[in-house]
Amino acid sequence: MTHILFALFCVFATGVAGAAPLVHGIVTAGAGGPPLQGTGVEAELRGNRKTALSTDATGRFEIDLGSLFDAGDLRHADALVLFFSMSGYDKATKVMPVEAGRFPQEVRVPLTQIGAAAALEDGEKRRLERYRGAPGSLPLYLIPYTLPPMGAAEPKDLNEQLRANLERVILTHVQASGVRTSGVLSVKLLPDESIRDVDRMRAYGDYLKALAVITGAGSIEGQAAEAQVVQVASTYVVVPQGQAQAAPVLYVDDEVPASHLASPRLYHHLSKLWGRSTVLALGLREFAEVQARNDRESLTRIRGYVQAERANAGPGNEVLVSQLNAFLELVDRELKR
Amino acid sequence: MSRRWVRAIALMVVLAAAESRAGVIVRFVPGSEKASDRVLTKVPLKALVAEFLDPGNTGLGKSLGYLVWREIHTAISDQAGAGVILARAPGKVRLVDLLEHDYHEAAICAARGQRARMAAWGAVGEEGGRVHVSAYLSLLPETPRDALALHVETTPPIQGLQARITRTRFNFAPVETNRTELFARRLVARQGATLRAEADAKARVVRQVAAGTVLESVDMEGGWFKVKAPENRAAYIDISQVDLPPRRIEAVGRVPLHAGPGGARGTSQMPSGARDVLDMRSQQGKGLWYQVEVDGTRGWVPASVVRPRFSLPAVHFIAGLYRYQGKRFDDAKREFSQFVSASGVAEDNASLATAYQLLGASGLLSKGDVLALRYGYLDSEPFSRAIAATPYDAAPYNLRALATLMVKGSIHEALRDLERAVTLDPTDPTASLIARTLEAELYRPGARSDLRHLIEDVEQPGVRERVGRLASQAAAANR
Repeated sequence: MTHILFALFCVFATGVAGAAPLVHGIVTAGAGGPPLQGTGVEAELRGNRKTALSTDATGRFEIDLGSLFDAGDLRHADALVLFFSMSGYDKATKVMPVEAGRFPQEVRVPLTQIGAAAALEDGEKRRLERYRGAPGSLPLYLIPYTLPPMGAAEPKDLNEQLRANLERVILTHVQASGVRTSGVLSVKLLPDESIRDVDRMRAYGDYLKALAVITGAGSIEGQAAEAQVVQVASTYVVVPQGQAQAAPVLYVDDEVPASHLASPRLYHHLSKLWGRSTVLALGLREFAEVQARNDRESLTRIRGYVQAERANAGPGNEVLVSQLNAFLELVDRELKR
Repeated sequence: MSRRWVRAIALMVVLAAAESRAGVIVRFVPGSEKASDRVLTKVPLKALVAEFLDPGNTGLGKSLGYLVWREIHTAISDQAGAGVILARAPGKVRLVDLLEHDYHEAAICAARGQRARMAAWGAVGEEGGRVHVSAYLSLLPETPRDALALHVETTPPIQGLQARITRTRFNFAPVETNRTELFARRLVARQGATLRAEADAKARVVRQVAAGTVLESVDMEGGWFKVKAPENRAAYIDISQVDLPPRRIEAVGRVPLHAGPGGARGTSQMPSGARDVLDMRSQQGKGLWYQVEVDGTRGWVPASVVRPRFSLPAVHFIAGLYRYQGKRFDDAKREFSQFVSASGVAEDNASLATAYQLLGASGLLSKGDVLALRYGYLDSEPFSRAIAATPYDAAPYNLRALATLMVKGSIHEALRDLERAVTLDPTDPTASLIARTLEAELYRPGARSDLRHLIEDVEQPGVRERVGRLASQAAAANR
């Protein structure tokens, strides 16, 4: 059985940018877990990938980009991509924008254990039951974002607004990608839940036969009201459906002006990324279905829409492209069998 | 899928060509999709505009549908054989309730029923006085494959030198605006225009206005403009009773002002930049004219020398597609230039890249033939910008290769792009066909193709081998 190990950790605008091309970081087992010694770290600038080092006993690493890349790469890079690999854990990729030659200095990487499935208690299952989608539907679930109080807008209302808008942008993106889904795609809100743990999110998604589970949290930075910025950390977990492969997890840290939080601008920040992730999730699910019966027509169709999704990717989408490339290779291998 | 929507929909139609009628209203009957339900049946090139989704129930969805419909109409008003159809839900029914989850698919279904080539629609939200608009466009799969292609025509004909613009569904970058930017504008009354006390065809008549009267709109309610009436009172006028000039026009360089539409030139000039449009007139044989004010002086400029700025960049994109398909390549260039220069469009790199591809192709096609370009210069920048916006898409590489080959006469440079295109998408036969054509026309024993005279580096070391490799490599991958 072919395996693909996709785990994706994107961090935008993290850390403090600086001129010295020296990047520090720490790798842990899950968010807030123990440090992971011996994790392999590779760095890429402008398509040039270099092996850097392994993490030390405290899970920490330090990369001197100046010693790995030439001056031209350092000067013209618009993104730094770090790749992490550790036996027993999903591979992870972190993408950090580089603006005007200013590199991020500090990164944190939580790795997820492969196949770590959380068991749900009966009470949880009963609570979730009423949110189950209709047979044949393809639901994505939104666990409410934890958001700071913003003016008159209630977090509950913001989450419903977010759900409705995410549903539209995801659906329009999927339809624009030419994907023909086997069921009705929808985004459903789980209003009473507040979990953030990826394993538990997957378990919820698995129980509800979801395509993916989305959640996030925001915190306010800055003092003056007019200068307030909300740091929004989002998580998109693809729910595997029977395939013996790890499914992607996408982490996005973003900054949203506080004044935009209660406006439709919030979903604009997320729409493209979530739309693309959903196309990938649909592709993975359909691939798992057709692989067993060697359905070449369906495989060719999957290849077509994944190829089209990659064709729409712009600069700064290296992680998406590497995901799609890996998936295309997988489909091509099946087509050649 | 969207049968419920198709059943319930009402259609209002405006035909752009001068000889056609305006304001025809057609209603589907349940379960029917007879030919008689179709409108503009004799118009070959048409788009359907659906009212915008309005999940927050702001009332803006219907207004934006009407506005975009009429702005597209204004943009293509001089193009015979082209038309625009507005699809709206009846009464106070919200389209969002009818579309359910179908979106692009529902828009395509409605457009297909009308034999339209394009379906435009969108979504709108309002928060704190700011209006957020997302516009979408679907080209129907049955649109002729060659409608958006770049061919190299030669005498005698050589087959295979062509590349296509492949993308067909667009989610344009969202636009943040406000009601004033959208609706505060000048309108020109048509024959029999009536101002009413409310936005309702049965409301009390405030007054009749003569054809050509300029009205000042301050807002919109459904398909009605709210305008300033005498004694500072508000009144409403149905959108079908007015012509809709662009809110602003832009000049590149100084443009002389004329005393009247089609009249003599005055001494004043409109400088580079944007001006509000105060009036709009169409003069028989002299085209469309806009009135503007410069330093307190009012004057007229022909529409052909300025660029309109419509409410949404998507209007320029759609108008560009009309122009391109109508083989009006100078006009297409103008519309796609307006699109790519609009604020915020880069947020959706796929539509930006497509606009650059069409801008580059329009630039080549507007020159007429290769020799006209050869003695000018090759503006391949639009293709390069398309590549920069979507570096993993094979299509702009193929287009740039064709341009480089025919205008610059460099096969060496063109091959780099073709090789990249094949690497990106081995299943796309475009680069393969171009390479095979070049192999046959340039290197086949006894080949006497005129193409050899146009391309300067045919015998450069290694070029022949690369052409052969590309043709066979792509062909192998295609099997």
